[in-house]
Amino acid sequence: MAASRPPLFSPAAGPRLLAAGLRGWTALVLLFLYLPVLVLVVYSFNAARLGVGWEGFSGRWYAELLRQTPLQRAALNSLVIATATTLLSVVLGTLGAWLLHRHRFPGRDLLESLINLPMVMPEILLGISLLVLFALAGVELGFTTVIIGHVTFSFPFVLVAVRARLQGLDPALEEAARDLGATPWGAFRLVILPALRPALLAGGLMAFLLSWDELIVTYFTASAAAATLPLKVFGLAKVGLNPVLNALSALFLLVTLAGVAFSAYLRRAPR
Amino acid sequence: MSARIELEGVGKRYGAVTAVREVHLTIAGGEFLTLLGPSGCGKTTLLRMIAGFEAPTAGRIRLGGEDITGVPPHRRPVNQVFQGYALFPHLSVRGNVAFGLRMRGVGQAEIGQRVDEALALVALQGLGERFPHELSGGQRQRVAVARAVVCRPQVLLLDEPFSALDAKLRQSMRAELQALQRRLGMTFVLVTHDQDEALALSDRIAVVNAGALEQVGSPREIYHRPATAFVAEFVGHANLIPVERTSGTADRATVRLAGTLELDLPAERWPAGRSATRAVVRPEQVVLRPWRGAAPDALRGRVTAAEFRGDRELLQIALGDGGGLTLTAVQPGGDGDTADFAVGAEVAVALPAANLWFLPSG
Repeated sequence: MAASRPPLFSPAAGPRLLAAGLRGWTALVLLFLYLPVLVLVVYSFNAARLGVGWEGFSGRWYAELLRQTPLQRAALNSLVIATATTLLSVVLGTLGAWLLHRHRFPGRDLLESLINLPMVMPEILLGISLLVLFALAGVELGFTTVIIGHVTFSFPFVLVAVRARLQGLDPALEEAARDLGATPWGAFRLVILPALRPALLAGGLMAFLLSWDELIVTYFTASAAAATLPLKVFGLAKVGLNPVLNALSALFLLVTLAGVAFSAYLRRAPR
Repeated sequence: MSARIELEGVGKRYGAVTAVREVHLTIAGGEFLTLLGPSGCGKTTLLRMIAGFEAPTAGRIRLGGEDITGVPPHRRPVNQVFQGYALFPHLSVRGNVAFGLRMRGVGQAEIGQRVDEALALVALQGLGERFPHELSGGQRQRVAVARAVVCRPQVLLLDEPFSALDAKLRQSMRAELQALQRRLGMTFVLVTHDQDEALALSDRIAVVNAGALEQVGSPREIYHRPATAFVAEFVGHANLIPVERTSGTADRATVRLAGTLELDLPAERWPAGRSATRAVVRPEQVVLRPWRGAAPDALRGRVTAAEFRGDRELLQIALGDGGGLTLTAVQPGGDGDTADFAVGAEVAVALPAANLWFLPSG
């Protein structure tokens, strides 16, 4: 026993030290991830107008936000664009997943790769190419163009989620529905769609959040009237750090968290 | 409530692969017919063609005299119990059972009543609000049966309905299913690879092999008078012993088994037009005696292996002068030593002529 002992640690101490080390490491990683966000939220309540010194608790920047109608306008734009993007992405992604799942045709793998590519394509490339396309087609920039841009990279996320779910689904479920008198459409609507719910929620939330905080593609495809919140914030931040931006970012974070919480709630609801 | 099914030369090809070749079969109204065969033999494809999930590439399918070959599954008066049940996970037991009635546009009040009846039929009253994942395997099977019979189909199709159940439960569900079929008088078509199931449940068994029917007959017929070596070996255990006809008159035939044992039997037992074939002897038909010297009615053998099965014991017997033949015999599984038939013991193997069945082919 004693001879096989490693020189530094006893057999029991080794795993214990390792566990403690891993726990510390995990805490560090979490700190690294969340400390900046936490600082931002805390500073959004800082009374100081300039600098980083703490000058007491205040809600004045939130009050200030209420007077900034352009920012409110931008927030509304973001919400409209993200909602439209979500709906379109869910429909397109589901239909695409169904096509790829159910049909064998030449070039299917190629098509799937082409559909998935925008997920990893550099946004700047996507933005410029869309701008060129819209310019060539003579389409005026506005809500429609932003939404088209967002759907381009959002709907593959829905497609991937739905496709994975479809592959895990018992193919007999659809046949059972057909056997019991459902038309092909009825079987899809009454049996397949409910089974896809978790994937639709996950994919839809992904699409919403992607659109909600998208900057680069929006930069190229939006008109001034259709400017989104991230675009506005980016413009303001270029001029200089502004405590109002802290408050705005905190609210922005709140919307994101609400989205995540909402999806978690829906997934916990009875199936 | 129950209709006749006629398969008229039904075949199915997938490209170059033939899954089912020209099957002719009539299933009577109210009959319990089992399609029995090894996996990949085409029995499931046959069932799926009756359900409408696969279109035959040849032949017609008639239900109650009406051609349903091109009718889509949702318009066939046929329902299926799926392997693994395929219950809808997002619907309660009631929701599952009501599904077919909803699709047919049955009124709410009638749906409630018929769902209650169907649940009572499979003894699931009080579990209507549960979800499939809250049920045991046996309960799920009952839901699957209730969901299918509530639509009052002309034919109920069952695809390996017992494969997801453990051995004990399988026995009791089998008995229940048979009782249900008798009560409803519905035509049942069962697909299984389990010969016990087929023998226990069916009015008739259709043995399927390589996409074709090998034999159709009652369980007793299939077991005792198999038409082919495949049927003999697939259903139960069979000893196949080479046999030739040596002489005989118009009403008596003399045959020689395994090249040595001469037996005399009525000529009509011998398949017409053959000089040699194989005899089928079931293990329980092999008569064993301790070896006490040569006897005219017995072959000499040696026990090479014994397998205790509780109620019985399976013995492997190498025949001394049978050209290297090994037979399987069965003895009651007694307690203590049966030294007479222990491994290594010499035995006399008698094969009474009355127990022999001669394969008409192969």
